[in-house]
Amino acid sequence: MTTNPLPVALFAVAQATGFLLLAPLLRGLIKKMKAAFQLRQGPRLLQPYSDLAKLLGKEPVRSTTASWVFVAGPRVYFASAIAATTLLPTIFAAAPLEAAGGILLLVGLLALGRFALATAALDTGSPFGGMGASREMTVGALAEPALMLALFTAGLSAGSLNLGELVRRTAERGTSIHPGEILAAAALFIVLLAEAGRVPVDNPATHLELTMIHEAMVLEYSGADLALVEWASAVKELAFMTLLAGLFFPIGVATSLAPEALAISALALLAKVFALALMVVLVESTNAKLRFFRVPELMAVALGLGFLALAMRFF
Amino acid sequence: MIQDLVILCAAGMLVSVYLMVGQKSLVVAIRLYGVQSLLLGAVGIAMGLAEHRPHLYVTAALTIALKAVVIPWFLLRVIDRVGIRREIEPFVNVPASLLLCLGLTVVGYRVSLGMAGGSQGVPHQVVGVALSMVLMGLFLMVTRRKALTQILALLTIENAVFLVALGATAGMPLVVELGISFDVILAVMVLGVLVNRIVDRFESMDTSRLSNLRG
Amino acid sequence: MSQSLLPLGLAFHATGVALALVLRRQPAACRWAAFLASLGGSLVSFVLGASVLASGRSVRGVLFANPAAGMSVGYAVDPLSAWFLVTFAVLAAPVAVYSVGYLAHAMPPGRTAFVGVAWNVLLMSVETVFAADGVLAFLVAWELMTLATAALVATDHESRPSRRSAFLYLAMSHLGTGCLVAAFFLLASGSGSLAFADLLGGATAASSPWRDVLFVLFLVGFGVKAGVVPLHVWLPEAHPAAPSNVSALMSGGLINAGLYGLVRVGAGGLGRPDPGWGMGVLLLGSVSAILGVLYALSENDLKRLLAFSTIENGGIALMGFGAGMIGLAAGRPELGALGFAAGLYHVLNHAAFKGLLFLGAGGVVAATGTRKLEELGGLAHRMPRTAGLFLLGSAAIAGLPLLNGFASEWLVFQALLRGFFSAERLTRIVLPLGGALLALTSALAAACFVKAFAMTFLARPRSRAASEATESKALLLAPQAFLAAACVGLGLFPGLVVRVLAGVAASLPGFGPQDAFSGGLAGMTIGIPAFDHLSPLVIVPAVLFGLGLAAASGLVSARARRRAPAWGCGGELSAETEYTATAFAKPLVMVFRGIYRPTREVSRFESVRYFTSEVRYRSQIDAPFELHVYGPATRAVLAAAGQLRVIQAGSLHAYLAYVLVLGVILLWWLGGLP
Repeated sequence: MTTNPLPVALFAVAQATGFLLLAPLLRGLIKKMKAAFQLRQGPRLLQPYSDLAKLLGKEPVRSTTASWVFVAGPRVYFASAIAATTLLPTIFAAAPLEAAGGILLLVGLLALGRFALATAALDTGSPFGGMGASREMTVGALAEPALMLALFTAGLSAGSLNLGELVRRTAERGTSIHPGEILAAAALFIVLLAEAGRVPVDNPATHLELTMIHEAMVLEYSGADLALVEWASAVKELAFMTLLAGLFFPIGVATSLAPEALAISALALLAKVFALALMVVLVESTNAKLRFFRVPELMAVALGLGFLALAMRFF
Repeated sequence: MIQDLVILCAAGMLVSVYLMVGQKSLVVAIRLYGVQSLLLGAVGIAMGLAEHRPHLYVTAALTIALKAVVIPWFLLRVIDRVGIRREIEPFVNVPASLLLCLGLTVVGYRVSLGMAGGSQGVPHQVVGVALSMVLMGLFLMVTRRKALTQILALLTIENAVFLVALGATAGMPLVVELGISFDVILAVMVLGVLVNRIVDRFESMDTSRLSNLRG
Repeated sequence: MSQSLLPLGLAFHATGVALALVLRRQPAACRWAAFLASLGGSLVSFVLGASVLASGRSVRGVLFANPAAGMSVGYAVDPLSAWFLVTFAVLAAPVAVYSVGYLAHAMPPGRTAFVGVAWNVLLMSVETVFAADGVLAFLVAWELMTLATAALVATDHESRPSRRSAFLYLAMSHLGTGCLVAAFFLLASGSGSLAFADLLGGATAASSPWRDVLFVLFLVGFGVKAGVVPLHVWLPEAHPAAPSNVSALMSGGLINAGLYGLVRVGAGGLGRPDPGWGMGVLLLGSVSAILGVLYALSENDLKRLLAFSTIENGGIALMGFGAGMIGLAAGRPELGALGFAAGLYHVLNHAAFKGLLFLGAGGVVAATGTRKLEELGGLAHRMPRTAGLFLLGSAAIAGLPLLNGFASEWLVFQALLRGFFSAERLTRIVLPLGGALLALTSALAAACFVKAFAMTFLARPRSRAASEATESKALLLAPQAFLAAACVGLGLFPGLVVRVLAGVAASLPGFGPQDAFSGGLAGMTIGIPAFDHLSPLVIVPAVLFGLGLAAASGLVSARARRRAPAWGCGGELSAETEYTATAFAKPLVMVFRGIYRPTREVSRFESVRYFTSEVRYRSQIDAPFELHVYGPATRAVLAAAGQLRVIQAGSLHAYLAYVLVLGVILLWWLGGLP
């Protein structure tokens, strides 16, 4: 670990910016693929960028009852998502700020974002915000144990909970896929669906009060506030996919700074993310959204998978 | 010789308790208590002579002053104020009481045989006497109705314990002795007040009437 | 010099008692005198604790001795006691300052002297409990602590619920104290000495056949005080009934007395712990944590919510201790040190954030006159500073990064996960499960405190009182700011705390000098650095970068920010249409209904035959332990007592006869023995 902070800082900034720039593309890709499934053309691939630009240019309208918490919510959410991206190893077998912490810190940062957004949602006095916050915290609470178990399986099998170290060790050992790890990946995939607010947990395109979770929380935001929330959600989604790819399929990750290795690694990462996005689209297109009180059962499935993964891997 | 004197006084104390059991006049009972305490003081002086411990003299003097003089005077005053002079028929009549007390004396002696002789060479008879006095005092409390008799029984028990203490330890530290004496004085004063209250409330010293207070 | 610190601290408190009594006719002067004296005592004990922690050497002394009677009451402040003293002082000092302002408004002036006296007695006894070196001093101080707490809980003695809470507290505490007395006597009967150095040094009980009984007795005795499920039933009643400054001290400080005892006994005090003991403690901790947070979620009374949350945090500390005991039992002291250090760190953090939350709640209750979440709301506009500080406390207790809750939970996770590498199969299954349970607890706690904060401070006021609240005075806000700063400091610099804790762990019997974990200014790491480490300071620039980008986006966008009423789908939005606290928690109550077993009752009242005029809905969650455990037990005891009442004849002579008969029988039986 280098003691010179400048390269680390540059690395962190570069990675965070990369995530920021690529996340809307992921959103656009998923929408395009979903449309293809439904035999539609769908929106432009780069439409999310236009949407964000439009939102940034609009005037935010805030509720008269809202306080500074309402304004702070999206900003803290955004900042936590950005900070989380600096903990992930992407094309290089190290995370920029891996000195800060590992799996636990990552999960903590995501929890911080959720806390901020949920609290802010209750500030408008509208029942939609309350409902969204309540449901989001419920789903989040149930997803966390499953997430932890899946991550622990990966961490304990590699012998480290620090993401950079984890990837390095797996790269050293070679890619032997153990059935336990497949189960853990499945559990993590379900959690990804929950955190990204995808069908079957939540429908990102609906605004019907009976069916919204994430959307209900952010219903009252507009202008730059909404842009920040949307962007941060996209970044979170990309971060989860990168995490899944990096933890369970660390094929082709660069262990040296050689340009060819980096290029191969970047291509490999893009391929993995593409594959994951395709899987998400498949799941979204072939499933209906679950009734809210069925979501805990899904989370219980994820928890069971996680526990099974741990048991299989170690017994 | 001193030994014999001690045994004699102890026997005298036992006799005084028997006499307390055997008669019904409250005034006589109080006087008997005074005699008992005097004998106790004599035991203290005798032990002081035998063991060459001067502080026993102080103890004995204190005993005589408080228990043989002050307390009987106080109790006689209480009786005067209240105006009751005789005990009424107890739960167990007098001849039967005397027989039972004989039995209790046997128990006391039997226990004292089980104990080794007092560490100061005091004969075990003294311990036997003391134990018998305790049991008889308890018996008195159980079978007599008047509060005053119960107070005297309590004081008898205290004397018995003191006798054992003198015999077994050759006198307790002065501090302890003072403490006990003041405790006794205080207890008697409180009990005297209580007797007055009982009489005011129930127009008699009969403590079996206290069960009226039960909810 | 440090020899005289403890007596000096106790003298401060005694002065406080005296001044409170002398000044009882002048409430203002009484308040200032009593609580300034208390502040002085806390500062002195903080200095004492800090000096012992820094030097690593114990401070011993004698409080008073009577050589003639062979009795001496002494104290021995070793690093463990010092840690608890420091934790207590960190909480007690700001709460004392807060009390001066709080009691001015929240209490009738005649009661000020009472609170001042009881407060100082309480602090004095708690400090003695932590510092006692022998059974006598410990038990006397413990009992005094219980009595002072009960007195403070019953401050508002006109109200029946307060009296009942105090009585329940006293009854449960005496159950615990009885177990403690039995355990101490059992221990002392083997060794003949009453000093802790002999009894709890590990040697005495190590070979005793009564080890398990001893451990269970100690666990029950200390568990009652620490609020371990199922001995916790007094906590949700007593903590809310007391005035808020007392609640803060009780939740953040008195729980520690029980936890202190558990550490003394578990960390080698009775010799090497059995693996079963560690599992039991871990299990109890997990159950306490999860049940505590679940019941906190369903509560609509702000202070009861905080009380249940205290049970949860006590459970988390116990999980750390349990993991530590398992490590010790397996012969791996570095694991043991990790577990105990995690629990101790959490104890300190809990004092900080729970104190902050209770003080904030006290300010809210004083300003609005109500504790119910369904009547609060909108206070962020009227009490902005309280809101900001409460938000910080909520974030800390939810275990969000950069604050202290996250740091200690991280350490507990490490203790649980490191245990995974042990050889025993049972341990390998149980510990990661514990980790998952901890994750669930943490997430539920976040949900719970979103509810607590948002219902109290955000949106519109739900009652007139809330709409007319005013901000607390500076005297009430400054202590909260101090505790908030402590939360931030303890969260950003965990390495420094962990360094101190390594010293504490090394001083316990059965441990040696530790390299189980290390910490520096930047962060902390456990024994195997590659396993995981935490340096919150490193992630701070990333967060700031994100915030900066967000602020930059504001510059890019349009300047004006319009305010408009929120859209209500065509209807009016008002306080009635807001989301309520019950509604917020409802999904989780539904998910966990197997544990809650809510009952619901819907009744309709008709005025005209075909038109329902009124529908009443009632939903209730019953307290399970009181219903199914304590209720039947109490009834059985009372029934038995009723049966035994026969011998209570009411006659003096009968009672004396009992004594006589018993005496004769005993003398006859024993008299024949040599």
